[in-house]
Formats: sequence, C-alpha cells, structure tokens
Amino acid sequence: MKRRVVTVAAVTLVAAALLVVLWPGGQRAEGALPLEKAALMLQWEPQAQFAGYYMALEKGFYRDHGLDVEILPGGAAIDPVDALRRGKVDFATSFLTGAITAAAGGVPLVDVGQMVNGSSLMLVARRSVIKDRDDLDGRRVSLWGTSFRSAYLGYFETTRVKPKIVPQYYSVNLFLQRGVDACAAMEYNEYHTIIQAGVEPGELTTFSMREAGFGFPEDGIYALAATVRERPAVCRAFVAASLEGWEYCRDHPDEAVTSVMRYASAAHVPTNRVHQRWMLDHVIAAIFPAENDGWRPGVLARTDYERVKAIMIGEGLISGAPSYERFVAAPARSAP
Amino acid sequence: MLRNLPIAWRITVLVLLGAGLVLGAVSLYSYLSARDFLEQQKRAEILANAHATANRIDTVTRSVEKIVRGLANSVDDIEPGQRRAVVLLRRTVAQNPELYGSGIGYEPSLYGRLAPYVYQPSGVYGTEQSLETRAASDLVVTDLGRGGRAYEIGDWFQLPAQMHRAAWTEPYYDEGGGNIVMATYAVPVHLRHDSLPVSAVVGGDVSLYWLTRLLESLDLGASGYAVLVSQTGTFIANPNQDLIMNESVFSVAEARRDPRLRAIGRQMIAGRTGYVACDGLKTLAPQESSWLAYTPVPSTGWSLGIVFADSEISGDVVALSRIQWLMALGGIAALLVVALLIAGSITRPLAGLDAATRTLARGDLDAPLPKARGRDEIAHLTASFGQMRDDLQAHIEELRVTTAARERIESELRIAASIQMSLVPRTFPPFPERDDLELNALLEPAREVGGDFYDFFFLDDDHLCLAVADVSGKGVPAALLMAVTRSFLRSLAREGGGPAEILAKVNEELAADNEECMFVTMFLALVDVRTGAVAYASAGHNRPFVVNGAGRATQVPRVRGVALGAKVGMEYAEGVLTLAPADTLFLYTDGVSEAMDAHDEVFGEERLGTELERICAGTCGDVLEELLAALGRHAAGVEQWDDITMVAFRYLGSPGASRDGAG
Repeated sequence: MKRRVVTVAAVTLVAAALLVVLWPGGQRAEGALPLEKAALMLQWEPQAQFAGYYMALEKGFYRDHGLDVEILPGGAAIDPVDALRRGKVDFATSFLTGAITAAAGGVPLVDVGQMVNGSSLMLVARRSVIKDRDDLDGRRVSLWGTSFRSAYLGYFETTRVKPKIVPQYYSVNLFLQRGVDACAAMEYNEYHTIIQAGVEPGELTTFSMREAGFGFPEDGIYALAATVRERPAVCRAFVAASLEGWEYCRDHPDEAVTSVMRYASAAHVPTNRVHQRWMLDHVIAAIFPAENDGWRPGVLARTDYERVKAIMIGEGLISGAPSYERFVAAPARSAP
Repeated sequence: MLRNLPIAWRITVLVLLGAGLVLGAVSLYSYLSARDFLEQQKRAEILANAHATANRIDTVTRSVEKIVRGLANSVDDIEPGQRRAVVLLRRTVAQNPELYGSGIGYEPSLYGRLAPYVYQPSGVYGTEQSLETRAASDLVVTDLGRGGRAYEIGDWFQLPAQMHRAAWTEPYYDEGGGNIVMATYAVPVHLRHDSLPVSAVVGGDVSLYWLTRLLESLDLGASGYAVLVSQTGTFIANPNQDLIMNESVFSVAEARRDPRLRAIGRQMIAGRTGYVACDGLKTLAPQESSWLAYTPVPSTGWSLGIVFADSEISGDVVALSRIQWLMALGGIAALLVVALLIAGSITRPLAGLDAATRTLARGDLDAPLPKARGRDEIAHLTASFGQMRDDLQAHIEELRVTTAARERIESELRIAASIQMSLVPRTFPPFPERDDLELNALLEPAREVGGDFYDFFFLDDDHLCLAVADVSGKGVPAALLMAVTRSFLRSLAREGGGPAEILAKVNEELAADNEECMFVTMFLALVDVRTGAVAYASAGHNRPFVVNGAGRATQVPRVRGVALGAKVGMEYAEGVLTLAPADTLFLYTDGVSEAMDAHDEVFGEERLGTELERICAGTCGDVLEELLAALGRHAAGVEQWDDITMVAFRYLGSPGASRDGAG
C-alpha cells in the first residue's frame, strides 16, 4: 500500500516536470520580463524577398525571443541605411555591396546576420539582338545604381565587353519597350516580371553573375556598431528569430506567400501570387544552401567578404573598407 | 418482335421511324447551319463591339497624345522655373477633361529637381460635365521634385529620356497625386542650348478610373464583360478590381498552368485582333468556358477584350434548337395520329375479314362477310373469300348428296352380300348322317359383292348334285342373277336328266329374258354315291381337280359348253368319271385360279394342282382352310379382287357298292 503511494507521487512529479519543459511558454523562463523593442527597415517594398521577417513577426518568433519588432517597408524613395545611421531603426536589410559602400563611406555598419548568401543577379537581353556575351559590346544595357553595379562591372571587365550603361530604376519597362537591349535583373524578381509581361524565355539571353564567378552574397541584416556593442543579445535574438522565420517560409511556402500578398496589398504594391511564389522559392534557395553550396545561413564567410571588397576596390567603387572583424558581428563570422 | 405487332402498329412504327429519321436529319442540318450562322453573327457582333469600344478609348488617348505633344511644342521656349509653364499647364488641364493631370519634369542633372505638375483631384474628373464644372480653382498645382523627390526614376520620365521619343507608360498607382491608377503619355523636349538630347519631359495623365467607368457602362448582356490590358498584358480594367494592376494575362495563365492563355496574351499585346475560346478572365481560377474577342487600342498598345460566356452565345442557339425540336416532336406526334388513322382505315376491313374468316374456319359458313367498299386489294380479297365460301358451300352440299347416294349403294351392296351368303348352304358337315362322303365348301366374297355361288343337294338318296357357278358382273344384279340361277338349277335339276340337260334347260331359262346380257359359268356334277360315278357338264367354267387317294391331282377332262344365259338353244357335252373311295373332287371359281399377287401374277391352275397334292391328306375342311391360307400368302396383302369359292367333295365309298365302276 505504502509503495503504491510512492509510485503515484513519482509519476506525478515526472509528469509535472515534463509539463514545465514542454509547455510553450516554458522556453521563456524570463517571460515575465518586458519585450525589447526593435525596428527593422527593409530595403524595398513588401515582397517575398522579405517573407522570413514577416513570418517571424506573424508567427511570434521575435516575441518568443523577447523582442517587440516593428517592420518598416522600404521603397524607391527610402534609404534604410540612412534610417539606420540616423538611429530611426535598429536593424536594416541591405545588399552586401550596398552595405560595403556605406561602410566605406563611413557609416558604422555591422553585418549581424547574412541571410542571403546565394546570388540572383543576372543580365537579361533580347535574344534577337544579343545571342552571347560578346554581343553585349556597344549595346545599351541598363543597370541599377552604384552599389548594385559591382558584379556587372566586374563581369564586363573580365569579359572585355563595353556596353553603354543606362540607369535602371525600379521597373523593367525601358527594356520591355526596347529602350535598352539588356537590363539588370534579379532572377527571383525582374526576370520573372519580364516573363510575366509575355516575353518567352526562349526570346531572352540571360547571363547569370553567379555562373560567371560574380555571385556575391546579397541581403544581410545590419545594425550600427553601437547597437551590436550595447545590445548584443538583442542582435543575436533578432537574427535567430529571423532565421526561424525563413525556416518557417521554407516549410510553409503557401502560407508565407499569403502573408506577403497581404503586406503588398496594404502597401498598394501591385503584384500577384504566382510572382511572389516564384520569388519566395528562389530566395529560399539562396538562403538555405544546397549540397554543394559552401555557405551557412546567417554567416558571411570571410572569403566572400574579402572577395567582394577587393573587386569593389578594384572597380574604383570604393577606396577601402572595414576589416572583416569590424564589418561582421562575431556570431555571423565564419570559422577562421 | 415487330412481326408480333398488329399491322396498323407496324405501319405506324415504320412510317414514324422513316419520317422521324428524315425529320431528324432535316432538324439536325438546320440546327447546325443555324448555329453556325448565329455564332458567326454573335462573333461579328462582339468583334464590332470590341472595335467600337477600342476606338472610343483610342479617341481619348489619341487626343491626350495630341494635347501633350502640343504642350511639348509650347514648352520648348519657356525657361525652366518660369511661371508661364504653370499657367500653361493649368490652362491645358482645365480645358481638356481627358487629362487627369499634366506636368513638366526637367532633367535634374541640368536644372536640379524641378517638375511643376497640375492635376484635378475632383471626383467628377473624366465625365462630360467636367468641362463646365472644372474651374481653374479646383486644380492643384504641385512640384513633383519637392523635397528632392526623385521623379526621374519614374517610367514617365525615364522612358522618353532614354528612348528620345514619346511613350505611354505602363499604368501605375500614383501615390503622390490623387492616389489613382493612371497612365502617362510622356514626350521628350529639347530646350535650346542644352547639351543633352532630352532636357525635359512633358507628361499628360489619363485616369484609368475613367476607362473602368467606360467599360462598365457597355451593354454586354448578362455574362459579358470587358477587360483592358496594358502593353505587358497587365489588367488595366477588369470587373474584378483585385486583378487590376496586380495580375496580367500571363500571371493568370501561369496560375492556371494554361499555356494557351499565355499564347492568347501574346497575341493581345502584339496588337492583334482575334476571337478565341477562353476560360474567362475575371478570376485566377478558370471559369466557365467563354469566348474572348480582342482588339488593340493602337495609340497606347493596350488591348481590349470582350468576354462572353459560351452559354450565352449558345443560348440563342439553344432557344432556336428548342423551337426546332419542339416542332419536330409536334410533327412526329401529328404524324403518329395520321399514320394510325391511315393504317387503321387500311387494316380495319382486314380485321373484319380476319374475324369473319375465323368464324368461317369454325364451320359457320353462313356468317356474313364484311361489306367490301371500293375496288382495292382488300375488296378483291373479300370478294374472293365470298366466292370461296360459296364454292365451299356448294361443294359441301354436293358432297352431302353424293355421300347419301353412296351410302344407299353401300347398303344395297350389303343387302346383296347377305343375299349371296344366305343362298348358299353353310352348315358343315351338311349331311352328318352319311358316312360315305365328306363335303365342305367355302365362299369368301370380295369387297364388292360378286356373283359366285356353290350348291349341293341330293336329288334322291343316291345322287348328289354339286355345282359351282360364277355370275358375270358384280353387285346386286349379279346377286339377283345368282339367286335366279340357283332357283332354276334347283328346280330344273329335280325334273331329272343329266348334267348337260340340266345346264341346257337352265340356259334356256336364263337366256330367254337376258336383256342385261349377263351370263353365268357353271360346273355341275351328279355323283352316284353308291358307285362313285360322276356325270358332269361345264358351262364355260374352270375344270375341277380330282385328287386320288395317293395324293395325285388331275383336272377332269374338258367338256364343251358355253356360259349360261349368253344365247338360247345351246347344247352341253357331258363327261363322266368315277371316284374311287378317298378320291376328292375339288371345284372352284376363277377367284382361286386367278388370284393376283403384288406383281399381277395369277395363282394359276398348275400351282393349284400342286397345292392340292400337298394338302390333300387332311379333311375337306382342312384342305379348304389350307388352300385359302396359300392364297392369302400369294396375295400378300393385295386386296382380294374376286370372290373365292371352293367346294371339296371326298368320296369315301359305299359299303355296299361294287368298285367296278371306277375309272
């Protein structure tokens, strides 16, 4: 009789312990503490390129990491690095080349988490005029502003073609209306926009910067050096939650696209579901490495940084840039 | 199966089947050609509608192009920043209701960011009344470059600046101005003294709200709707607001995985005109099958599409075909009634005839036949049936009469036969008290009574008279003649005299009144039973056999004499012979010797002798039985043709008589 009482008590204790461990709130023992406020500014209008951050917010991953995050959309007229510099936001996403340019210009930027290590940059040309690389010579080619040009300029340099560069902004209509023979494109975005404008893939010649050896890491999460120094836990939590958001997108792409469409609609961004799905699939592939991809999500490899920096200096886009250790926060650095 | 139906129904079914097939073929043909015609008509109507609508849009966009080009021409002598530019813009926007707004963007690298813009944010924009109601004071003047805003990155500036030619922008959502979807016609301007080919861009905006209103106002029936797509296939106007600016024909095709729709989209943005089947353009998912007519808006490179549900287009066809099918059904129903009436009128007399013949077949020949009207086959048939019935009645009557006659004859024959049989002695042994003789006789009449007879009687105690006769002819006359002959024989034999004398007397009697020319053959023997001496005479009759005690058969010697009754005054020869005790005298008629077998072979006298030798050991009765059996075997089923008459007399010898007389 006595032994039985003991058994029951033991079972109850074990069950209670399990409950404590497995309870959703159990992970966050400091749940009672107030959430840390953090603002993120994205470098462009709402689209699947940022699905991971939206899902981290919607699914409560930021909250679970003790953060109360606000996401501010970017746009043509908005400069997230500037917002970061002026302390308007705590985090901003940026293209690596853009961030290096800013850092070279004196903005104390630190890469706290390199989300996109794959490269989507490409040149899209009309096959009727441009069949191969050499045909680019002397042709009108539109490229985005300075910080996006590095890979293309490197490519033209190596391949010794000299196209006439025309500024390219947020639309590919100049290309579609035949104002240029080729234009810059993200495989996940503009390329598909061109296809969705009724151009057949067979009518296009594409040049992938990745395949040409100019595949640069792209979107990273940046904070000011002061933030990294003073609130390292917040930075770590933010990057970890963002990665969880991206993992969620990878596992629930339909739900993620639905969310993105909602944000886009709220921001009056004209887009459609198939396009966002295309974008999400390509961005996910650029975040989570395939078997032969050498990167780790969240980490900016030293070799990549040094390579991009050297190319940009070589192109005269910058005269110098911070060291790897200064530019990349410790958790985002690759093993030495 | 059809064969089991009444003829009227068969005719009806076959007529309906045939007529139905013809009617069906005609209906089908007329349905198909009418459908083609209606579809062609609908197609032409929809395409015409699309052209008209596209032209209405084109009129507006062309007028915007003209206004903006005019503006560009006026602008090139205005220095950047001059107040005149704004006045010009105000006037232009105020005077042209097609314009939502208009502006001049100067090349920032030459003049800094400067872009005066005048627009009309009021809700009445784009309507007919707006010209009157649009007061200059309603207009808003602004600078798109205020606060350093980079207007030069917009397509409206970028496209003409880079292409050095005027262009329509893709429709865009204008957040800075009136928060509407618009498209801009932008013209590059080169100002004097400038180093760059494009110093400024003059733009005029057209609101797509106006376009949507225009397309909504079209009367396109219950299911019809119009869509407008831009140069990239993006929906500018669509009944489904969610699709506008967001989706293109190509994104819808991609969402539906419908390469055909993508091909249609390419035709549309290539400025083609067409009429194709498509699954609707109102939602991402395919809708009911529809028809899409598309035609370009030439100035802008847009394409206008008018979509009609297939069901609506086929609705008219269905209505038409419903009428046709109803008419066909009504026709067939009327045909059914007519066919039934006609078939009934044809077969009703037949049915009457059928009923009448059934009655006839049951034997009621007096039942009336239906009255035949007209001169058709049925009338003929009825008449023939009537004729047949009358013939049948006559035949039956005839048959009845002849049957009665025949029955009378047959009864006469029966009488004759009974006469014949009653006239011959038929009790055997005839003289049971005598032991000196044995006598037996047999008369087997043929089917038709003949005139055979036999007779035997004692003239006195010692003299036995034996006779066998065959009267010519058959039937009652023969039977009567036989009766007469027998009577004469009996009476004349008792008057005395030998056999020849008796025959001569009988002949005299018979021949005296023989108008019928009938005659009788006869063998007559007088036996002296004391001695066995036999005196005999023959009137043309078969010679009898004598079978002696040793079993040897011989015919009695021939004696002259013709048949009785043929001629008066005939003489008959007389023969004699002596029977030894145990000798048998066998008398017969030609029914025995001339009995036929199946091969018309006669029994023959020779064979008769042989048979007699074979069977003579038995009693006289046995001999006759055996001989009759032998004749039966010979005939082997062939019908007996003549009377069979046999008499066997065996002389047993008188105990007191001397044997000398024998020989």
